[in-house]
Amino acid sequence: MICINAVHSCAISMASICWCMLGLRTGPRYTPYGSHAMQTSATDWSAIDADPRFQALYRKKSTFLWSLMIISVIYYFLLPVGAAYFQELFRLKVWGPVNVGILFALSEFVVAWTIAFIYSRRANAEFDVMAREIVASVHREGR
Amino acid sequence: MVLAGLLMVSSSAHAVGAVGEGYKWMTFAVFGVIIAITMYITYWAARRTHTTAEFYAAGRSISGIQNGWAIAGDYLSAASFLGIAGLISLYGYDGFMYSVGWLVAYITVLLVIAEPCRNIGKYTMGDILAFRNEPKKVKTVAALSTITVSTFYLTAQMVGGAVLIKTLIGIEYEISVIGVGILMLAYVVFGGMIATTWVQIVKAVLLVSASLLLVFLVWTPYGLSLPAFLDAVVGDPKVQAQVAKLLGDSAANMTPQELGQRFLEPGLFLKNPIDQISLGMALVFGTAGMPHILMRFFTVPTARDARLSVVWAMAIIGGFYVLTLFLGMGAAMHVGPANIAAIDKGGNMAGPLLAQYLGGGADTALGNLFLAFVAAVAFATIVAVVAGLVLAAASAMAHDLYVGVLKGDRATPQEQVVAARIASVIVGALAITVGILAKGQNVAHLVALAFAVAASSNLPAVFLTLYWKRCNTGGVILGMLVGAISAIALVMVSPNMTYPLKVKADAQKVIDAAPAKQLGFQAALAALDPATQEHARKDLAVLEKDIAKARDDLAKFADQTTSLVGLEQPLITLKNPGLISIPLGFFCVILGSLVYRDPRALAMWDELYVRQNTGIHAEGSVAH
Repeated sequence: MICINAVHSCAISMASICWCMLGLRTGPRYTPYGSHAMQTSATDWSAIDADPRFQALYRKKSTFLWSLMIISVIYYFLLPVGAAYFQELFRLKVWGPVNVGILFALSEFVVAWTIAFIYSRRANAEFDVMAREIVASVHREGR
Repeated sequence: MVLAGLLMVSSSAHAVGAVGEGYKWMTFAVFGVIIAITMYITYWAARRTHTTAEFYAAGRSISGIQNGWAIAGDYLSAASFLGIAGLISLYGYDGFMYSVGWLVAYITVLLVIAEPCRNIGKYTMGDILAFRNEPKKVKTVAALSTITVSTFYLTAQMVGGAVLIKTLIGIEYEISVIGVGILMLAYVVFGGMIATTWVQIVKAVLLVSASLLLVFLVWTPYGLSLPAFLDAVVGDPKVQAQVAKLLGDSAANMTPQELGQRFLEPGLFLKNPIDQISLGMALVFGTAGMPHILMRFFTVPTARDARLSVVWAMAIIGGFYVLTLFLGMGAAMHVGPANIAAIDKGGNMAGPLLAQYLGGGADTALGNLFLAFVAAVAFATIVAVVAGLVLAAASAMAHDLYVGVLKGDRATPQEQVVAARIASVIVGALAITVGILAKGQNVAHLVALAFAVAASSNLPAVFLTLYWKRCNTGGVILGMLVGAISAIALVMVSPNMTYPLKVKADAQKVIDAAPAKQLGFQAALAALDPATQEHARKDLAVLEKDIAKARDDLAKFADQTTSLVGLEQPLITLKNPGLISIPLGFFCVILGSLVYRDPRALAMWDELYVRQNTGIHAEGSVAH
């Protein structure tokens, strides 16, 4: 994921350089696949993309989202790795017959739920509000 | 008493199913009630299904919470409902560990797929890919991939479901394939996504309430304390005997208590960590690429509802797997691993047999009512999952291939709905045919293969289209083809296939070892103790079955030396291809994109990125 993220940002800068050099901005107008061709052709997407509010949303969201994704993937793969290479630790009894392995497997559920909860709470409270403001200003300015 | 009942069950299982002859009417009554409910739902939904948006996406009128239940109903197949409880009852800890990946997979769905797909998608995965890539080309590849993944998964469900119904109530294999097929077709053809959604919701509610009831009954005697419950599992002689059997010689110096405790430690089933990591990758990246799961996000009105639905789905699915720990351990303790495996080697009968035990046993009315209820839930599970898969495959066929590619998007709304219904009938007929043809085949690895193809083909293409500016048509086509083909090819040369030489060698080993074992059991049969005699009689019966199977294998593969693709032994040791094919899929999307020139994909990036993040111009809901 880290590498894709890096490829992504690197590709953006590379592509935007090529973009200007080739003068593609004056090229043909494209429409997305689907039924909103009429509606969308009237919107200046690159202007919204350049809008500092959209940039702020994009930056906040990406950082948050990819950190959570990386944490959850690493935490998940600790389970099979631990079960295979740290068996002594997994066997350690901590609560009657309940051992570290069982608690660790149960913690996988708790961590997954917590990540989902943290993400959706912040997305509901912050990202949705930011997105709504951008949408409202697009409609207001009739772009 | 209980043991005698179980013996009766196991001896009659192959002829008439687990439900006793005198109690069959109960099962059919419960089945009848469930079918009646779903038929009423279909009738109700059919009157609300007129447009394409209603047929494919339930008019985008499903709420987040409803969709969360429907995702759980779509996802918790019989394999996870009965299979994971079975694995836990036979192998303890490893079975529970196996279930974790199925939940963690939804983090990927929540964080990277659900909201963007809702914001820019319409009905299918092909629509997402076609947003900025060349529509006809990517829709063709997306439809092929969707149909491939759905067919693998569908075959596993049809075959597994029919075997299950036969084991439970003794209905003939072909009849249950056709019955499941026709019911599922009725839901999809008449009620479209609305009926499918509500059938999935009903099924999820039934599944969760059945599990809650059973866990309550099995856990209350231990004061709802985890250590007390597991103490009883560790101290159970049946569990200890199972561990001794699994460990073989290395169990010789262990005390019974140590053997029991070993059941709660890893390593009894999953022996190769690389295989587990590979399967884990297929789950974590594959679930987000499953067409029938992706499709569920088009049924809610906003991205916020899409988010809410994943959170609910995770609560239900995760909660269910935690309950499964108690069901599996409870079955190991009360029914016994040996008795479970005697009816079904994979352990699928653990849940149903536990239900029968908790109701009072095989010869009580309540025991059979419980069993009938669990059997009916299993049946509802199969129908609900199959309906979701058929709808996904049919939408790829009708919306992507017929309307998008052949008609160039110039089909009237009426034509589109008719095409969708005809495609559903074609896919349904295909599912029934494949189900009957695949009778007796080992289809368990097809589920893992479906996830591997989705993870190696669909996910890289969707993910990079959504998040990488340079991604384009060339990359999507190359990545999807290479990802899917490499996943399938790797499975074809893996240990999952049948290798006649190995099968014959194993069969010969069983036959060679048989006489000595037979002598031992016969000696035990002469013992005075009736319990030992009983035990020996059972062992003899199992041995005879094994010998018969070994002879069958020897005869079946007598003149074969190579597998389906002409190999004497597997080329690779990896059971799940994910570890190789997923990175390969990503690499090929990147490579293809860098080589191919596609100004439209580049020019459309700003719009795609703004729309997927803000939801501007997202497909709205249809008012009823």
